[in-house]
Amino acid sequence: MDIDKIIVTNRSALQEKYGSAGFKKIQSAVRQLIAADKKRNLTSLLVFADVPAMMKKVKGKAVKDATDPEQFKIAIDSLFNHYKPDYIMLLGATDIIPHCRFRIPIPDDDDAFVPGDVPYACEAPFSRNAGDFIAPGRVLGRLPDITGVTDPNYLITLIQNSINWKPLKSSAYKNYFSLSVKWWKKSTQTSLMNIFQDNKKLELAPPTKGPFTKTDLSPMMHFFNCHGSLRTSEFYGQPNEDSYSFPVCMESHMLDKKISYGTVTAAECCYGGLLYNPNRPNKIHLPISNTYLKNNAIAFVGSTTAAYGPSDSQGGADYITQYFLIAIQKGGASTGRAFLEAQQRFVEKGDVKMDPTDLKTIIQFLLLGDPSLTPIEDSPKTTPGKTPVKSIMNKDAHETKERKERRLKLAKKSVYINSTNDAPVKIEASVRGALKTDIKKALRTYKFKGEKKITYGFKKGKKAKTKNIPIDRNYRYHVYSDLKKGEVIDTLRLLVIQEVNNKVMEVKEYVRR
Amino acid sequence: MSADDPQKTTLTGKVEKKEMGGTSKSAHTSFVLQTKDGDIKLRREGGNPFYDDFFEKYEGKNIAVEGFDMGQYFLVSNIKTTR
Repeated sequence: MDIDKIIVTNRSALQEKYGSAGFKKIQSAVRQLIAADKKRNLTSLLVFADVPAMMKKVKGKAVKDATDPEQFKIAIDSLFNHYKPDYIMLLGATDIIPHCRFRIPIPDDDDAFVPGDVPYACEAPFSRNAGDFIAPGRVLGRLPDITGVTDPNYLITLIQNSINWKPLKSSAYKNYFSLSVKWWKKSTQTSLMNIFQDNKKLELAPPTKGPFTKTDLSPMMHFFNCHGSLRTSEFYGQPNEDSYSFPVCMESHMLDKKISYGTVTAAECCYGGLLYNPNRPNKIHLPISNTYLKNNAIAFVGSTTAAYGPSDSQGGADYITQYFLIAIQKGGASTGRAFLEAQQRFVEKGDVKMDPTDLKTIIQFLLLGDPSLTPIEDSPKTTPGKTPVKSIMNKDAHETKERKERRLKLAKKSVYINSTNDAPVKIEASVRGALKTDIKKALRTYKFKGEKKITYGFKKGKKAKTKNIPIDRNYRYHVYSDLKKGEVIDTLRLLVIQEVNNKVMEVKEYVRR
Repeated sequence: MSADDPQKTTLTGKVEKKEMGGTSKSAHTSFVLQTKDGDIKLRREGGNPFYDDFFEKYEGKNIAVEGFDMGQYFLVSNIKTTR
């Protein structure tokens, strides 16, 4: 029997968290989901990665330590290689299946580790090097419960939402709700134009601060470009770059009972996708991401850590979030496929040799929600004028064939991206001669003192297989952070200098957000 | 990342303003406690996580804070000024 979707979770961690009765309720809900998937032409399978018999069947090792991402990565690879599913759904938050964590050094960056799910979507074997996971090729999402909370009803609600979902006409997703930090207006306007060909409904914070009515939040596409912080249930605005005022513009409880069933959300905000424990050490509201899903959203794309992007143009977090919504808008794509397409487009669009902020972006953004749900129905292939196909016989088999073909292309694209793109590693390097002069000139031009700096290089030996195109160039990035103290205002900026064969090629500036 | 299971503890040090968040989208100035083991950002339950003006009155002062070490920040539940 071909398996189209694997639902991966951890039996012992679920039992410990919810007790026997709670676990049984969840298991029963998953059985109903599998039945509902069958009606959607998907053969789904629940797999407990910690149950030896289930893992033996796929020649894999059972997970023994629920906190060890290496064991999960090995188990998921075994499951994927055996079943070749079109969807991988991780069931549970990070106390059921942990994120993989990486060190990605960036000057003045607060995050000691960058957690993410992207390694589970990659063919590359487990490693602690983030650069090994820049080319995801598997459709994957996480249907989370709430970290540290033992009431099973939250997860059952989310599973029920998956069970009941039916794709809608594209017109349902034309309208949007969008909120941005005031002084990031230009960047957010550009993102909205790219996604919706319209940016008139953008709200800025300040002055916008909620609460919001059901009508305000009724559009089914939500896009945020706000400040976020570690373990807070809020997003924040800021009037200008130099202000100490970070007014709350969205709070998770403002969403309660106001979200349309099927809403798809993308949030650029720092920590917007962090699945924190709302009960320890003190009790706070649920994360905004968890709250969206509880209130019938079907997908939330956000970042586990501090995210990057320029203030008045486009880069990093702007791209990966807008690509996701664009892929949804095209119609016919599941949330999981749309996210994978966004990840691949993000890496493909960037430099062949990634800069460190792009590396952090690909690792930190994740999809929360059942990856097999399709928000917008596909237009029939037999639509007159669209293709030469006049009729389709064996509809279900045809649909499966089409999906498998798409997966093949995405997997091949992952191989292509992996062979053409490369991720940076921190190196010790000095600069001399004309290069030193050019870097000094760039620092002067952009008014950087050059005090804090990290240099990145690329591992030798990773070369594209194309014969006639020389790519053995020596790339390096020199990243400077600059802190300017003012009486009231402090400004922090990042200058990313791309050097190729001892010549400065590009200078990028990330203004602090 | 917040610590997995933080326990209540006490730290002593001097309160100063410091740039946080590097060059990320949420870079900001916050109050930190300068301790002998390094700086840690101060946050209060219900306080603004970026700039909490509650700490302004402690700037430049030595204090003892009781609360939870969350890894990237210290969640303050009680403050005493020390000499």
